[in-house]
Amino acid sequence: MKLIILKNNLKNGLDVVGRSVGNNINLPILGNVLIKAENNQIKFSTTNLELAITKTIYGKIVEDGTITIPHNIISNIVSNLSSERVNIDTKQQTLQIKTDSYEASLQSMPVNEFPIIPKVKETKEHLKLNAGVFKDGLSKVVVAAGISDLRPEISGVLLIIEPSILKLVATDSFRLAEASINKNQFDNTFAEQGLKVIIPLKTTQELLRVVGDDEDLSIRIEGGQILFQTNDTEIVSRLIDGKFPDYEPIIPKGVDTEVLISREELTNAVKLTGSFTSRVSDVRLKTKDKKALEIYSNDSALGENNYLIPAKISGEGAELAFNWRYLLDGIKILSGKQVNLGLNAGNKASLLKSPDDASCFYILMPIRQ
Amino acid sequence: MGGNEELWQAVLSEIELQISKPNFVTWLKNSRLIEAQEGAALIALPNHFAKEWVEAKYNKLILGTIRNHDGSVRKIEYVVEGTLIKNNPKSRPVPEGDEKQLSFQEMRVDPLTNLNPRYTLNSFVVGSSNELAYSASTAVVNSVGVKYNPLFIYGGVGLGKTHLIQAIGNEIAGVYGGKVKVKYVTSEKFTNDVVWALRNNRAEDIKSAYRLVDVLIIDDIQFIGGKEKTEEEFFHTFNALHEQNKQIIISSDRPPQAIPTLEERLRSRFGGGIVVDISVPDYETRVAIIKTKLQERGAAIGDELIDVIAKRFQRNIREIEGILNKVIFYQLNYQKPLNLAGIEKIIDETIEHSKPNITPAQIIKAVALFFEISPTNLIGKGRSKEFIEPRQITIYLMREMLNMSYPYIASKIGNRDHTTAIYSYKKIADSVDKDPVLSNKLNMIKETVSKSV
Repeated sequence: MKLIILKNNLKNGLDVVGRSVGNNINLPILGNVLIKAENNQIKFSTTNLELAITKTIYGKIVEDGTITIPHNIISNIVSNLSSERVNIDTKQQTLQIKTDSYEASLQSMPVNEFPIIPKVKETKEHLKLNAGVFKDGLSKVVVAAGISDLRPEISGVLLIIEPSILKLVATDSFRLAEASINKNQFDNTFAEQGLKVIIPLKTTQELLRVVGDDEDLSIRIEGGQILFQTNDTEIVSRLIDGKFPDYEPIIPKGVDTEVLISREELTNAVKLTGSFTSRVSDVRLKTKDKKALEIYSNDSALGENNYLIPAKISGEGAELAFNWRYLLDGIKILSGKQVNLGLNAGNKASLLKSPDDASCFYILMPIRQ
Repeated sequence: MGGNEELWQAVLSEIELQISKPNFVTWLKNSRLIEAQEGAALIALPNHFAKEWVEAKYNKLILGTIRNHDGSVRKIEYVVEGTLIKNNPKSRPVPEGDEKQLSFQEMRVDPLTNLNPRYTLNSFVVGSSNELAYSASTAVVNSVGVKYNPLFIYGGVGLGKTHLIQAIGNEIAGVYGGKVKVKYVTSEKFTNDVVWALRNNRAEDIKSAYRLVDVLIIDDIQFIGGKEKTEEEFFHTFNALHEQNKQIIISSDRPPQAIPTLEERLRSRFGGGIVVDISVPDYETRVAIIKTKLQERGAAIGDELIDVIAKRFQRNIREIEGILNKVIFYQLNYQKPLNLAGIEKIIDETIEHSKPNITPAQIIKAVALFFEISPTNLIGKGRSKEFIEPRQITIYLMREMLNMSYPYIASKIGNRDHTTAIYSYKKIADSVDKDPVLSNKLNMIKETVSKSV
C-alpha cells in the first residue's frame, strides 16, 4: 500500500473514526484502525463491536492495500506533524509514515484478525433526508435519554417511521422529549405500517458529532441493525432489543395553568436561580396575579433569590418545583422567542412547547413539595 | 432443549481447545444452540459482529465438531439474539438518588419483571435483626433455584420485606441479564389474575404467565389464605416451578404456620426451603437506616435528632421515613436546624395523628373479646392462668399504643401496683420478638382496637 494524504484530511479521518475505537482486554485489535485503499478510495474503519464507523478520505493512491494499526498511536503522530503532506507506505508488517523531516515505522497486526464489519443489505426500504434536519431533531431529544443498565429500552432514542411523519423520542422516566420531522422533509420507502426502532444513545451521539449538517443522509434498517450513510461516512450500529414504554398516556391531556413567557428571560432566570438551589436542585415557579411568573430558589447555607418575569397567564394560580437542569434542558430545545409552559398541579407532568413551532415538545415531572 | 444445551456445551469445550482464548471469549462464549433439526443447526450469537466473524472464520470448525457428536447435521445457520449479551455484573441504582424528583408513573416499574429498580441490596441496611434474611437473599442471588428454595421471608409491617425481595429480583436481573426471567407480583395481583382467568375461561394464560419464569417473587402471601381457587392455582404453579428448580421467593407478615387460613399442603411446602424472619431493628441499625435515608435525600440533621428519632420509633421503618420527610420539610421551610423540643413536637403530632382517640377502655374490651373472657375478669383480682396473659397483654398495649405511664396503667387494671405494670410490659416486650404466636395475637388485637375507633 502506498498513499499520499494531506495532513488535515488524515487527521479529520482519524478523528471521525476515533470514538468508536474499542477498548477490550480480550481483543486488543479493537483499539486499531483499519486502513483500506482500493477502487480509488481510502477508507478508515474502527469498531467496538456495538457500533462501527467507516470514513472515506481524500488522498492519492499510488498502490492499493490494507493494514491495521493502533489508532491512538497514529492519531498522536498525525496531530503533531507540522508538514502538509504525509506519505504512507507499508513494508512487510510495518506502516511507514514519512514527511520531509519525520519518519516513523509502526508495527501492524494481521488484517484478517480485524472484526468483519457487518453489512446492512441494500434493501428497498430506506429513509433519505437532509442530515441537518435529522440531527436537529436528534439533538433536541438526546438530553432526555436515560443511562441505565437496568433499563436498556430507554437508554437510547426511539425512532418512529410512519409514512407521513418521523418522530424521535427519548426519556429517562423523569422527563420526555419528542421531536417530529414533517413528510415534506424526507423521502421514505418503508412500508405503510411503519416501524419503530431504538437507537443506542452512544450511536446517536456519534452521529451528531461525525456527520455534517448539509450532507444527504440515508438510513437503512435490517435485522436488528441500522446503517447511517452519507457521501463519505458510514455508521453501522446494533439496535436496542426491547420495547420502548408506551408514552402516549404520559402526554398531559390538558393543563391547569398556561404561561406564555419570553424564552430568553426564562432561560436566564432558571440559570440564575439554579445557582442557589439545595442539593435537590429545585427551583420554584409561582404565578403572580396572571401577570408575572416568579422563579425563586433558596438554600439554607447559601441564601435565597428570586426573579420576576412578566408573562401572560391563564388558568389557575400555580406553584411548582422543578429540577432546574431538567427545566433548562427543556427550555433550550424549544425554538422561538417565547415558551409556552403548561403547568399541572398535584404531582402531575407539565408540558413545555413553543407557541409557533409544533414539531417539538418536552414533558417534565415536578419535584415533590 | 436440554439435549441441545448439552450438545452445544460439548461442542464449545472442544472448540475452546482449538482457538485462542480471547477469540473464544469474544465470539463464542455467549452463544446458544437453538435447534438441530433435519440436518440444519441454528446457532444464536450475541451480536452481528460475532455472526459475521463466526460465519467467516469458524463455520467449518463448528460444523466439523458438531458432526462428531451428531452426524446428521449438514449445515449451520446463524442468528443474532440480543438477549444473549451479558449485562455487566453490577446493579446500578436509579441514577438520581433523590426520591423527591418524581418520575412518570407509567415507567416507574419495569413492565416485564414488575420490579421497582429503586430497591437494591446495596441500599438495604443490614443489622442483627435482618442479617439472616440478608445472607439468605445473597445466597439465592448467587445460586438461583438451588440453595434455598423457596425462600420465605416474614416480618412485621414496614421492616423492609418488600425492599429485600425486590432487591433480590433486581440483583438477579442485573447479574444474569436477560437469561433469567424474574417476575414480581403481590398476592393480590395473583388473586386478581386467577379470578380474571376463571371468569374468562383463560386458565392457560395464568399458566403461561407464571410457570415460564425462572424466579417468581410473591409479596404478602398471607392474603391468599382462604381463597380456595387462588390457593389451588398457586399450589400448582408452585409445584411446577419447584420441580424445575426455579427459584420461588415469598414474603409474609407472619411465618407459614401462623397463617390460619392457609391449606396444610401449601404451608408444608413453604417450610420446605428456608424460612427467615426480619424482626424489629435494634437501635444501632435504626440509626444506620436513618443516616442512609438522609443520604438518599441529600439532607443532614444533627446526631442528637437522629438519636431521638431512633429511640422513639422502634417498630416501623416506614414511620421513620415519614418523620424524616417532616423534619427535612421543616428545615427547608424555616431555614434553620431543628432543636430537640421541635423534633419532639413533630413526633408527638405524628403519633397523635396515627392513633386517633383510642381509650384504655377500648383496649380492655378488645383483649377481653379476643380471649373470650369478661372485661371484669380481665382487670379483676383473679390470678388463674387464663387471665394472666391477657392482663399482661392489656398492660403492654396500653403502654405501647397510648404511651400511658405505669402508675396510670396500674390504676386502670384493677388498682394494682405500678411495678406489676412494669413487669408485665417487660415480659411481653421481651417475648414478642421471639414468639410469633404472641406477635400474631398482638397484631390481631391491635387491628380490632383500631377498627373499633
